[in-house]
Amino acid sequence: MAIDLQSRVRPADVPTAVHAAPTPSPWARGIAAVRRARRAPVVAVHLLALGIIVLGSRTALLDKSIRLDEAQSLWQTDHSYGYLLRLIAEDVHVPLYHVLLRTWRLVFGPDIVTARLFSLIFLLAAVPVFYAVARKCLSRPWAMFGLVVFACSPFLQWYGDEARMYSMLVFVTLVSQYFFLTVVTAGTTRAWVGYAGAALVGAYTHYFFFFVLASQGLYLLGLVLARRLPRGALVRMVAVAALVGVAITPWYLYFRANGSASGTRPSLPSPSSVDYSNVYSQFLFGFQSDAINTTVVSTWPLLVLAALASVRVANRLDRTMAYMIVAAFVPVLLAFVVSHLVSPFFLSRYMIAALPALLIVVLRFCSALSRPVGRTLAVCLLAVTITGTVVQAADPASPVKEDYRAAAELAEAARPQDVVVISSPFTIYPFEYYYDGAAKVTTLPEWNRQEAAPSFDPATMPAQVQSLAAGHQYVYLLLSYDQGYEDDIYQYFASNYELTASTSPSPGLRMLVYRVGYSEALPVGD
Amino acid sequence: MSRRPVAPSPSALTRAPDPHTFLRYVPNRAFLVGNVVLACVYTLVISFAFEHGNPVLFAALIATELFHLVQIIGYCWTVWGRDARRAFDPGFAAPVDVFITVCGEPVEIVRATTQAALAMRYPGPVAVYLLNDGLVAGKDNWREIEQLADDLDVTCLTRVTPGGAKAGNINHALSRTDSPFFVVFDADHVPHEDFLTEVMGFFVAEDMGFVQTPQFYVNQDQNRITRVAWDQQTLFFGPIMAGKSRLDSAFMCGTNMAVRRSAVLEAGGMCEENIAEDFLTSLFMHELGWKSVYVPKVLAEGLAPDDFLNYYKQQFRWTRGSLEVIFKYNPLLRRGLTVGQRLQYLLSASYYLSGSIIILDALLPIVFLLTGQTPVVTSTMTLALIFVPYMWINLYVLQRTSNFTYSFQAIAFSLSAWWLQLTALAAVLTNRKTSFAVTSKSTHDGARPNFLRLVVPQLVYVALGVVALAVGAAREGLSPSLMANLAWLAVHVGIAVPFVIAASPSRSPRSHRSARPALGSAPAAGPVARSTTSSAAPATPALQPAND
Repeated sequence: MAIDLQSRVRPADVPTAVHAAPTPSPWARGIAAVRRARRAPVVAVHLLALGIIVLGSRTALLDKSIRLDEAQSLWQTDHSYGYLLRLIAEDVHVPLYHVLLRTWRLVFGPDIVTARLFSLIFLLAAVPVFYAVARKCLSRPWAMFGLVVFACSPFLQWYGDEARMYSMLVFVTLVSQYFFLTVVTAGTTRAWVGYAGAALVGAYTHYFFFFVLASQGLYLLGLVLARRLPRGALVRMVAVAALVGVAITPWYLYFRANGSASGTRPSLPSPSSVDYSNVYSQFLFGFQSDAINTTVVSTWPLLVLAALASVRVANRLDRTMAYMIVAAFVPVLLAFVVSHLVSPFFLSRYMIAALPALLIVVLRFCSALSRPVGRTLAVCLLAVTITGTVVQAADPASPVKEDYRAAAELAEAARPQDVVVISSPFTIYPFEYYYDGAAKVTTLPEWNRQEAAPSFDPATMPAQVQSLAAGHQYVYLLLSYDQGYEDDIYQYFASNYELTASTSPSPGLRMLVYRVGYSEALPVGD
Repeated sequence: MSRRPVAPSPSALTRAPDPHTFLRYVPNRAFLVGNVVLACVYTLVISFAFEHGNPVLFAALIATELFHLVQIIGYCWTVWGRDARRAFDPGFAAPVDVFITVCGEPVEIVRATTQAALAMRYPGPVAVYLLNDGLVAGKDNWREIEQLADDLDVTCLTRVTPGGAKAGNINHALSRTDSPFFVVFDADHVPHEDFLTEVMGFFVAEDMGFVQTPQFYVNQDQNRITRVAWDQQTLFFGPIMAGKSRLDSAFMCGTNMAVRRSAVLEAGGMCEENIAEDFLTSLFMHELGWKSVYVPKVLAEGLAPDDFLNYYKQQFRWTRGSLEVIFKYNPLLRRGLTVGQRLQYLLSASYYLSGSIIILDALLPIVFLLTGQTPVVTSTMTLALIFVPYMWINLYVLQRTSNFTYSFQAIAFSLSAWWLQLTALAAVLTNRKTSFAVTSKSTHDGARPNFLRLVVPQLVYVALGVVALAVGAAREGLSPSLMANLAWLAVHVGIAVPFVIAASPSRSPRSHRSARPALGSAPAAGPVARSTTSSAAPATPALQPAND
């Protein structure tokens, strides 16, 4: 007789088949009501989180200078819906946010503060959804703590107050993750419907959302291959993918018909390992100066200690937590690979959809440690988050700040016989939002703003500069968003004209004043 | 029927993890393949993709990475699958001698083991023997053991001629007994009633040499040391031994094993020339074509070393014995072993070379801080992008293959044992004798004695790190390279913290946590009663070479 040694091994715990929840009885509903009443602390933390977000917004961010991307949002949504769709199709984004923003501005006002409030609403709406997602992975106390960290996040605070689609992307991603987690644990039809709906909305919110969907698809495929989910789940996922494909096809065709954004794609280098690590550094610590950021990311070996500390008895990776890890890293990794293989588009703000998952992963790690160590680390995380937010808001050298308001105020010293030259040309939008001076404003390279932004030709630059300078006394040269020729322009001016003043209103922004005309005698004493 | 929801029972809320989980590992080959692939990619990248720095440091780094790569590949290969079907006869009834090796253990411990041995069910004749080495080892209670044997009506074989330690004790018994099979229990390893019925049937195969079962520590939750010792055992007696059994490389572990007399006699008896006599005897038996099997079922329960000194001695003994196998009985050169067996024995023994590797890794940040020299020149983040995923999946595979029974403390203790391993290596290379003693199994009152003397090297490392940090900071300020190496220093210090804490003294807690009750089938005599006699003053660490 042979004996199967494997029969001595009880099979590893296999998740039991999931069943739809039975319809609750009146008694059970009563119990649920009592439980709801016990959620006062949860409600209180929610209110605290909402208050933190609003406070942060009012205190430091809502009144900050308009940024380039915001100026673009305002300019685009100033047009009719039809023209707006054409502008977005010629751009590198999908239209849902812009359509909603235009509607919002028509109802509540056209200014930048009103536009930013629209983004703030999405961040506020993301608060309860984050809690719901976190509760699927963490205990109640840890999920509540995570909510506070979420609210204090410098990265979220920044983009929650920017007139762009990123807070909307966070909100939609969280909704998608909530339904996806329900799908992989309970598999109810309602969850699938919610998931499909969120996928449709997300696909029209930001292109990066497709990486979120891809990660979810890969994860679900892995579960099916490992026989943790029935094949029917894969069929449903394919159906959702097909539905998204059908929904996005009209836009895709329209996008292709309008040039595939060939003239408006940002000129970005292929991302490096530094860019990849900076994404997570900015997620956790916000936008800090190079010195601070470099110091922080250099301590990456501590992740090795964290990896060792995560080895704990009975600390199994359950299905929800495994997905959170996937959600925190795979979309960013996919974007990194695609940026190398297809076209570079690796910007940390595009990856914002991965931030909530990263927070949950970090909190889960802390919760799995011994109580004193875990709580200490959690407190440190909160302290670092708050510090990052405060420093980001207060530090004028924060790299993400673009103070076109200050630049415009400086340029208002220009007189009618002077000229303001903006380079790169598309930065004229945020500048013009604030500029109320007497001097003429033009761009270098020259741009009529009817066609795509012009390319730089070093051979024609001297002629263009001389043409701009002719008949003027001073050139107020505003340099920002280097497209690869900023130094050429700077060197030409420095070699040919007298620099009379220079200042840097914010990192990456330079205001240089050159004397180009001597027909006007200076008053005695100047 | 009432639909009122019932609150979960307290037992459900406070249920401890199942301590037999470590036996229920099911291989996930996707993760194993991924682990190996990432390890190979990392090693290739670190070897060829970066500009080389200091050549000596680079050579040292490559040596360490190759060692890690070999260990990872070897581990994944070992745990790739479990042993499958083996011939088994449930009616097997050949006579069996039960040897209980005794060398000074408290009488009550030996009594419990003996009573349990007498209570074992088996269709054939069973004779229980107490192998009493107390006299030759100079233990005071050797007469009490003889009295115990009389009380329980078992045979006591008291050696009068020393030599060979436990192996010699067993060989002495073999010369005075005649059953075709024998099983061995340490004095504290209490067998279950079904030990013989679960084990002996494998000898229906004519070429079966021995059968090994797990060593389960019933006092695993007693303190930090017992917990760590047990956590380390789960990896070995879980996926590793199951995998070795698949490769016909499961080796004897000194207790809880059944052996065919003719097989061990053909191999020259239990090897008396090596501290790890069981390991080496297994190799000799495999050389002769005998087979072995590991039964992944807890059939006996023993005691873990319960203080740092005993743990340290145990680890030293295992290290010394295993390293001797490499340098004196190189498995790669042994005829009669299959390729798989040669590699498996080499893998098991070479694990104890990791002390050299670990200290090399730990010294790299210090060398940089003191001299500015590095093994490679690359962006620290590029290295991070490759190393961090490799490390995380490596550790996850470790967790998963142990069925989540492994722990950070177990890893930390293993990594912190570098001085112990270096000392043992030096002793092997210089052929110095070292004394080794039976591991004390008595318990303390919860207080931790002071064994900081055993972790002086770790403390020296910390001090050296502080000095090196000051030098490095003075040289280049808070540069990214300095921060990265400071972080590495913190990693190595963090790993050493549990080890140092375990060696440091502490007061007894106000309330003790009681030892977990014996699990599995209880002996007929009832639950095991462990001695609570406090031990004598801790002996001087047996680190100095002993004169013969």
